[in-house]
Amino acid sequence: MKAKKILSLLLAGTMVLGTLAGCGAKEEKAEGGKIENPEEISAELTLWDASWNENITPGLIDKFNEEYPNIKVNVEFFPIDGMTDKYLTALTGGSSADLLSINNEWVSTYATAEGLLNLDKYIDENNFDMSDFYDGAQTGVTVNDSVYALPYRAETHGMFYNVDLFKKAGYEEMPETWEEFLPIAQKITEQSGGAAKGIAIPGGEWGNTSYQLTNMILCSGGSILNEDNTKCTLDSEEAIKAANFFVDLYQKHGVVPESIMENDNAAGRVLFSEGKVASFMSGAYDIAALEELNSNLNMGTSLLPTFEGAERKTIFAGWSTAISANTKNPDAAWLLAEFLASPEISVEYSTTFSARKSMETNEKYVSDPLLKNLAEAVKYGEPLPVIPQISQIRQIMYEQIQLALSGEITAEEAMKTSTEQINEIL
Amino acid sequence: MKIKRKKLNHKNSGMLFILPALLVVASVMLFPLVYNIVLSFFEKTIYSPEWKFVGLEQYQHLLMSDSFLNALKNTIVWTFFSVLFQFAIGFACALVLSQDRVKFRGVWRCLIMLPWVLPAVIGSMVWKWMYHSDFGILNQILITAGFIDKALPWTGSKSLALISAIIVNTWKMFPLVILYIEASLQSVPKSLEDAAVVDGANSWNCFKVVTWPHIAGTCKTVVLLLTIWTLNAFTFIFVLTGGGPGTSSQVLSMFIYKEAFQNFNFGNAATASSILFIIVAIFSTIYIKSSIGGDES
Repeated sequence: MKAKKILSLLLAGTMVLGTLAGCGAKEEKAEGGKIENPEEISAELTLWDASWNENITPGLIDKFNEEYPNIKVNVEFFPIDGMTDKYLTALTGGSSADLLSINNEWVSTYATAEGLLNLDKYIDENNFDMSDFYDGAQTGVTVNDSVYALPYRAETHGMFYNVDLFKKAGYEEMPETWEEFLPIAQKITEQSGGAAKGIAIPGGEWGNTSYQLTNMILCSGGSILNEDNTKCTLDSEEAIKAANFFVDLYQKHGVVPESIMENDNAAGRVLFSEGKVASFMSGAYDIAALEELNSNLNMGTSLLPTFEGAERKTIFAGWSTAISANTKNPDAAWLLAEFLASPEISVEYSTTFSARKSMETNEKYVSDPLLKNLAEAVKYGEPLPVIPQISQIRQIMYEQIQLALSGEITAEEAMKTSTEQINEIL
Repeated sequence: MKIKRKKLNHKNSGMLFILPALLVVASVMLFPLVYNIVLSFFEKTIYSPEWKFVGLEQYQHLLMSDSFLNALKNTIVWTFFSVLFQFAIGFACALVLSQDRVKFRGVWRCLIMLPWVLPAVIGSMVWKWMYHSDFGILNQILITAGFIDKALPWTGSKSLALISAIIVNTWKMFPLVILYIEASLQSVPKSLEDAAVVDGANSWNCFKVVTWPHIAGTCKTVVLLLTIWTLNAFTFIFVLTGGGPGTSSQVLSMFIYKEAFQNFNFGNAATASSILFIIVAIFSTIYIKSSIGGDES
């Protein structure tokens, strides 16, 4: 009897909560359109931003308020760990901020889950020009022919190399091709008796392992998926060649540290700063970190090598400002997103490079030789396939290439199994 | 009517006091649980707004899929050895620490409790670096001591990844075992021990006849609790190996996380969660039965 009563009470409570949860989810969604008299709009907005922008964003909001004094903006900062889970849950549950600063890779997932505002009407009716954004940025924020975020930050991987170790081996700079790179890496490894290896590759970090493998595949002329994202192409000759090279650097040539399977990007950075590896792939965000780790490090940056005869391509990565589908103030939110994506502001906002082509030669980038090469690399960037399954695809590639790196299977088998598994989920 | 009301006041007034707590429990535990079980019968991804009823299909599919069975196998290995080492080491330490001849017992206790006090994420991060074959102190110690001649890729090799995680889990939880066992050792009456010694019992017999019957109940409880916690444990493997290399250290909690938050296949994740729930529920039922039984006797 008692147990029954308790149970019925609990169930009643559960049902009440269930109803409440149901109410929250359904709301009118904004459509957007032409904004008349923007300076008269009065609203209060919240922006969710990444923690590394903590010292930058407040200054930009002040500038925004010079133009739009009646739009109050509250900014909240979040660390990258768990960020995408948090944003996704908030967006689908209707409890997110009005604007979110997001990685372009999340756009397709968030948009497909109907969490983001479709910006097409704002873009068309306010004559907003998208063509100044890098192609990679445009593709990255476009899902089913609609734009869901305005890009502000862009980057791609380049090579960091230890100038002293290169010189000691008789080389001046990073070569153009991977084929030329291999003997350099071998010589450096040999000369130092293994104390310094040719290159650090992360084998134990989902994000960076799949990223760097993809970079290799792209610059051998291969790709993960075909043009219309309907079929996996990792079993192509080019992709297998790249995967083979990636695995052989460690398995066959021994020019990668033994700790490869435990390494993430941070470990690669530390190894590089200590002179234990002569090179590693990374982005502009690592320059400051490296200078902090070892201020005496004589380093250079360059474009990523390609395979002989292949076109130069690397993964385009970027960040954009998206508007929640549930925002109460879409017009004000659009004005802020537009402001943050404007040329000069995007240079200030981005901790790497601006997403705008016209800013490639901005003073901030060309005045620093380390930055200049990496800024040039951005235009070769190509985004990962813009489909919601992309993180699952990268997980499959990651697990398979790990097996190849640990010698369980060959790189070719890894690519073929990946292809089968990826085709299954497409 | 009047009588009924009076009855409620007397007999069930206790219910009113626990009602707020019950409501909280219902909202944060029962609701998600029921929701999860219902969801496990539906095909639901983040991209499909509607729930498609598929009955037991997802259960059938999971129980036949290699990746799930691999995670299940790893979970069994992970739980069995974690609990075994946690208990064995904790038990031995407790016995030693409870000896009067041990000096500075307070200091030892404090030092030993440190791993347990440290947040699991921080502990795991520290271990990750200690394990590292280039920077890690563990390999250096082993090489210097002559146990190995080349650094081992602790978290990066198929054969060692799960073992590395078990070591960290053991390190983290054995202090708690000490705490429980030592507390229960104090309930052993000194007079009984003395009597046994006077009767000529050696220390093993004394332990078997006097000490063990007093602490057996606690030991059972501890082992069950450790089993339940380890089955659910996520942090160690997530931080140390991420389930890799490949899927060699993927346990059920990792599998569920990836299904839900990487593949966004909530239906499948709910199914796997329900299976894990059933496994945990079996141990919980034994635990609850035995602890209630213990009270009555």
